[in-house]
Amino acid sequence: MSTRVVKQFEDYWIWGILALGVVLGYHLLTLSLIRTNILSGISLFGLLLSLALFSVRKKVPFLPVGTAAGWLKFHIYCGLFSVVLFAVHIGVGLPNGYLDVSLAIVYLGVVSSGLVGLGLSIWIPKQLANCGEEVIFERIPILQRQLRKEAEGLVESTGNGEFGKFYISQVVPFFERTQYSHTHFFNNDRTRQELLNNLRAKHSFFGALERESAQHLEALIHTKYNLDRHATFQGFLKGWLFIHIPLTASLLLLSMTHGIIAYLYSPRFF
Amino acid sequence: MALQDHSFKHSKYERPNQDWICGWSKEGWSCKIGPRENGSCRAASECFPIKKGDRWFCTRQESDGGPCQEGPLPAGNCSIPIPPCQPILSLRKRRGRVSFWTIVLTLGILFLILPYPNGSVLVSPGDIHAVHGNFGEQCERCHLTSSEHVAVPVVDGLSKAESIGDSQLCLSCHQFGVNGMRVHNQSPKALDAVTGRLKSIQGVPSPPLSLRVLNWLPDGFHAPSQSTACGTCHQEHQGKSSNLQSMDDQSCQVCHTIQFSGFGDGHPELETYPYKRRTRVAFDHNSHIDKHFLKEDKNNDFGSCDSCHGLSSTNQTMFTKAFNTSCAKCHTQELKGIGNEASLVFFRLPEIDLFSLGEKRIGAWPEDLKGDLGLEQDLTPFMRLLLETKSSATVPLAQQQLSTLAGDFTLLQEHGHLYDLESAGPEVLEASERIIWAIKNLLFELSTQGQQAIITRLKGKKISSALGRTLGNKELSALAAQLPIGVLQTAQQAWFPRLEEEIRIRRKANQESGRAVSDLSLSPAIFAQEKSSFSYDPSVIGENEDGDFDLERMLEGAASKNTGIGGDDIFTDDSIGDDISSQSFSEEEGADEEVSGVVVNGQESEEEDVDPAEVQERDKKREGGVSTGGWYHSNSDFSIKFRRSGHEDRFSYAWLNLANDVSSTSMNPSGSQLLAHLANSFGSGSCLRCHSLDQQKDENDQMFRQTINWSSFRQIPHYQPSTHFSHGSHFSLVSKEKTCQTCHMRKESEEKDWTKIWFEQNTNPLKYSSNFKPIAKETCSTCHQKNSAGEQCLLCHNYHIGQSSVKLVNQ
Repeated sequence: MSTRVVKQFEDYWIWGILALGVVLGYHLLTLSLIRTNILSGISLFGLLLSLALFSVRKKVPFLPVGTAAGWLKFHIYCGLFSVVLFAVHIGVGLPNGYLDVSLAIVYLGVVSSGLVGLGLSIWIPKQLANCGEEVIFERIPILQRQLRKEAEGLVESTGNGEFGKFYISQVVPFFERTQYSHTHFFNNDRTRQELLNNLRAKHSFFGALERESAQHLEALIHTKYNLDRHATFQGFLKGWLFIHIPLTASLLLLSMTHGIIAYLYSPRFF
Repeated sequence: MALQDHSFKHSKYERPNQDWICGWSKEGWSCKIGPRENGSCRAASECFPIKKGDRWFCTRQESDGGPCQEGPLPAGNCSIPIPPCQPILSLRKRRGRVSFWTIVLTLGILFLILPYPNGSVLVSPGDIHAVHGNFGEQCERCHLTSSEHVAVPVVDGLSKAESIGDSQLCLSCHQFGVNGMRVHNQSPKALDAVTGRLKSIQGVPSPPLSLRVLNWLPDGFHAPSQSTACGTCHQEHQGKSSNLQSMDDQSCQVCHTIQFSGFGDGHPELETYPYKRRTRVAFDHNSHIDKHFLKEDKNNDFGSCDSCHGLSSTNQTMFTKAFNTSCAKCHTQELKGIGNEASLVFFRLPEIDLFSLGEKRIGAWPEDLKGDLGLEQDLTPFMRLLLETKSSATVPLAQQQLSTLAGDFTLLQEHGHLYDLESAGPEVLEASERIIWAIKNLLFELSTQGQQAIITRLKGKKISSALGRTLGNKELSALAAQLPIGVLQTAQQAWFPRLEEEIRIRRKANQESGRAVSDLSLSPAIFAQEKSSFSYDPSVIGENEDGDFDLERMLEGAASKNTGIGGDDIFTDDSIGDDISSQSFSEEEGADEEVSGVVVNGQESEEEDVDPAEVQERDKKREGGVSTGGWYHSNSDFSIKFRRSGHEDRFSYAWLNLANDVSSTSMNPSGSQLLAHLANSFGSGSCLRCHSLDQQKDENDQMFRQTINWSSFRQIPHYQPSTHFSHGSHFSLVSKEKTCQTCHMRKESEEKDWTKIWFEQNTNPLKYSSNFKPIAKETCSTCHQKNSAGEQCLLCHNYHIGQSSVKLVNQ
């Protein structure tokens, strides 16, 4: 294993060893009849709060409390570590109280969405890197409008011929709005290819100027396709947080309720 | 193709962190200025012209196309107005809104649920076990309310799985005695004793790694304190069919002195298991099997263990079958008794050294018991107990008399016997006289009140205080054993024909002297001292001119004073008077029987010439008349006897229990004496020959508990020993090769008198050498391994040791 690879997984080792240590430690404490559920519950709630601080950190970027990348790294590792603590806390069996089941489901929702988000954050940038130009998400409608206008300019320049008819009948919807599609995840560009094939099939009916415009339109279709791809992927990159963050808020509330009830029915520590 | 120009002149600065964005952005363009913070549109035109000199100039930015060709209007307004938009929320703000409404929704659900009457159903951490199902959703049945919880330090809180207070609620149904909250329900002293014993075991293996790591923790962290909460082991809310008794083997060992990996790997040898104590019934397996059971006799049906042992209904233990099944075939006759061993002497007139007693006034006494025949006949332990326990309920100053009599017995024991008072001093002689009068009074009461005389004395304060309780009617009935008054009256008539007169005269004298009427034991010395205190007439108390007792004179004196026998005026104790007046001496069998040599102060009775052999013959006849058990009197030794009915004789059982209780609870000498007497009665048929007597020290080593084991081992209801073994589960293993003796291997007896050594001469049940070899650990571990029959701690061990019961509760 090369030094680079070792370095890349260096943090994983540390966190893996830490997680293993926690599991072993809890196992030993459980053997010794110590109330591990209280200990793991407090630890888990503390960890969830620290994970939620990542969101606060984003709102106060001016504070000298480490880099965003560092926070993200901490957020990811702690999130994964919380899974270990959660497993330790609930034990082998599944919870069977209404509140506890709800709490577990919400927690699993948060973790799942987080893992999905993590996966998307790793995978999508690589996919977008193959889309040519980098695009700012908020500018996509502007760029889309710009492309549409450019295409409409081509039609205007060719007059009311076959090219214009073809554009109106088949190309307008493509440029009209963002073509969000799950097919982007599978690199499936059948829609674009069909459009291009139809355009190319019409070449024999086009005049010289129209053929030149058709070639230009092909380029615009490629660009629009990539723009749609950006819109879809970046939409997912931002969209998973619509699940992750609200569920986190709900999780914190339910955890607090659970903790208060556990506290009321357990001996007081202070 | 390049879509974007990122130069500052052509690229707008995006602000996605703002709450509102221009409504036109959806259409592919947006104004430069954007909406206000409150979400209203503030755009009016593409620029705000500025005036330089007298002209207005366009200020549109390069990124928006630079200054327009039209330029500002003459009034200074922009010539390109922006149509107003409906600003929209930014993506970030929309996410915040979703989060907000999620919080509202969560809180709303919680606030709807928690105050709901059955809200506990929803916040409960899970179903409780079906056995606790009656509690429903009433949390307070198992949990103290928040305010009732006792604050505990963090470490303590972590080290206890549940509040001790909550555990107290568990104990309201699950009752484990005074040590219910303690480890193993044992007192610290008992645990220390076990710990000390285990520490002394040599060759203990090193603990497994996990336990070694835990041993590094401070004691307070892993070792439970003296009080252990129930929830430490029993985890509730795990579902209706969860296993509340689930326990990891290593958890069991965390606190233990000896820690090991498994039953086959490190578990100590079983030591003396299962023969930790001797059997309740003294039984020498070796002598019985070798001498009797293995005989080739067609009538011998004791060929196998199950001839005498059977499986209990719980499938757990093997019990010893009943006497009639196991023992009666050989031992019935000796329990009925043969000859002198057949009967117990309940009452017997002692032989008295009248020569040494000299001038002392004891009244009439049988000539044959005057002490010159060397009979050495003493009073029986039954009599001593009854004399010492004379009821104080009906007798004034009884306590004084009791203490006097008890002291008298002690004094007499130290300096001689009633039959040998030659070397006795004046104090001993006075004590002897008091005892003799007490005996006569006892006989008088027995002959006039019958069983009631025994019952009254046994219900007295002395027995009650000695036992710490009052004897019940059932016990008293068994102790009186249907003693017929006729037997007593016949005996009294035969031995003391004028006992009634004697007693009355003595009481009269006491009455006049102001003393207790029943205090018949006043010595002449006391009389002499108190003569001046009452109207003393020597003739009334039978005193002649020389100061000696003279019955004729006493009777004459009584007649002259018109205090005739049976006269009401001499009775100050109504109860006694009623007894005497209401009961006439019946002419039952033997009532007019001749008595050999009965002499009342030198005056022989009419039947003085009867042959002693004939008297003995008649005694035997009387004994034969109660061959299935009962009372009779014997004139040859002046006694009243009880003939035992055989095994489970009620009289022997009741008196042994009484003697045992009196001697063990109060160390009463008369109780001990009676117990010893009963233990040595009946020879080989003695109850205590088989039914062992256990002495056990209590936790403080101060008192001991003495128990007669009337039955063989029985599972005590609601009692859990430290280990359990299911014989029934192992019966399927029995074959020709594997028999009972595969586990219970007989040990060659080292002692010749095994029963005598370990039972008759020993009262410590734990001091014992069994007939069997202890079961070797390998016998069990052959099968009981991790992957075969299992080796969990709880397979053989119980956590809760001692009494345990569950009180059921209503819903």
